[in-house]
Amino acid sequence: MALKFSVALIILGALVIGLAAIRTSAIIKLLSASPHLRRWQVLSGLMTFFVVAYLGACGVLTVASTDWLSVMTGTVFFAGAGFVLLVVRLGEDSMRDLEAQRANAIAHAEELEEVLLREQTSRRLIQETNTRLASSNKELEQFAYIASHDLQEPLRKVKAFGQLLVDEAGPSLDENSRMYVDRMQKAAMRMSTLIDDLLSYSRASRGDELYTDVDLQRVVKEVMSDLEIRLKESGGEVHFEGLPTLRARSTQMRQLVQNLVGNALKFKRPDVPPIVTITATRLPDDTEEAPGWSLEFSDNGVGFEPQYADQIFGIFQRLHGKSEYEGTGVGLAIVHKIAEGHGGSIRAEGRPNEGASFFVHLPDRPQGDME
Amino acid sequence: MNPQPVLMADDDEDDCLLAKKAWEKAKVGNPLRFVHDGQELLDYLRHKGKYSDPASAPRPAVILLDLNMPRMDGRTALKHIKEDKELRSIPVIVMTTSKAEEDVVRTYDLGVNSFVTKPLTFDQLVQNINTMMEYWLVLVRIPKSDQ
Repeated sequence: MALKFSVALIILGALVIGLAAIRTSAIIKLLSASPHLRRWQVLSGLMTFFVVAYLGACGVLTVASTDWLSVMTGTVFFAGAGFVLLVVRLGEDSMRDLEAQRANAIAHAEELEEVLLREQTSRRLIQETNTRLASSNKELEQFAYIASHDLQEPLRKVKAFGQLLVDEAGPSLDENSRMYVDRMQKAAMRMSTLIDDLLSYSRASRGDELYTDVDLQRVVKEVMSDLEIRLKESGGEVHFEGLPTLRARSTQMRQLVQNLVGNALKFKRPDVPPIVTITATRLPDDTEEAPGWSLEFSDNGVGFEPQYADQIFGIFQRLHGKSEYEGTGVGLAIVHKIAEGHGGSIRAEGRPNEGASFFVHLPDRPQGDME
Repeated sequence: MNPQPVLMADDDEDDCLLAKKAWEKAKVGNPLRFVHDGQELLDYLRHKGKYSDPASAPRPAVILLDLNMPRMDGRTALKHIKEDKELRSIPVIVMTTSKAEEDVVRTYDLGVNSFVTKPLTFDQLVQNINTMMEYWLVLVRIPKSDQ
């Protein structure tokens, strides 16, 4: 009875070991790239040996030879001890691996935290820059107000009292004195224009106007209606066709067109009615410049010496005497500023008495366009 | 009966002198009188302080008001005038160098009757005075005061 029970136990034990062997081979498959693979293989060998030895012990048990039984018991015990050691070592190494992974994960987390911190810092810097930008815009606004109001104020009085002087003392003034007062008046007028132009220039450098889709055809039509009197007086014509709609700051774009067309009408050749032609060319995508449009404003006016092609865009730069053409030399500087503010550029070509051409490059995606 | 004066509130002596000269040239029948800040303007209208004798401060037909003045600026004075039942019917014309849209909107909110920017030349000033006085002193009807 007892024998039958032991045999049953042994067979059951062999089955359990067999199950363990199946699991082990599954682990060996999973661990194909692990440094522990070799030891798992040893373990599986030991298990096979253990099973075989077990079955041997079963056989010895049935023939009941005590010598063989003690040898088999020792062998099984030895195999079992090796088996246990291997399992414990494997467990320990796995724990060490897990610990190393955990340390690694912590290091990663710290790194990540650092990156996050850096990002937060740069975000704060951006915010600070934005705040500074807003405050400098505000200062500019303040400057604009001072320019338009406080600087104009004394000038207005110089003009008014000058006029009063002429009105009241005019008859008793000699010709020279009247001329002096007249010159003072004209200088005051000119200063007034200068201040207004400086104000427009400072507005042109402002970046707070939002980008919208600007229809250039419409802009040119509006500018033409503003310049209607000058066009009539000079017998001038503006030709334009197929101008695109592009992303731009609407009022600045209008100022750009107004200044360029206005210049073309102003610098006309005597007795030659000015003709301004505005064309737009799509810039091919493979050029060095950003994809966008090139606008050309060409006229048949007095033109200029090619050597001045850059100089004319400087503020207060003039190529003609004040008696020839009035103006303060701010118009093209404003145009230059607007083109650059849009992330574009402008250049000029000209020859004396053969007219001038201005090429404005405007990119599809201008600077600071939020959309 | 003497015609009602037009009262100009402006701290700028130059502008007062120019207005006086332009007034002479424009030949408006009503006299032009001056106060130099918002507080003095209210004192004049309410017969306080140095204007305690009503005879010294006859009710103006029109007030010409500058916005930027010391002690009390034109906006505050305008607010007081338009909140005062006795005074609110007096036409107030803001005459300022400011072209700020904000000032225009705000003063109309406060009940100003007209907003005029100071002209650039003396001739224009004369012309503006003629136009304004032709309208406010001759053309329009405003409630008579109790005085």
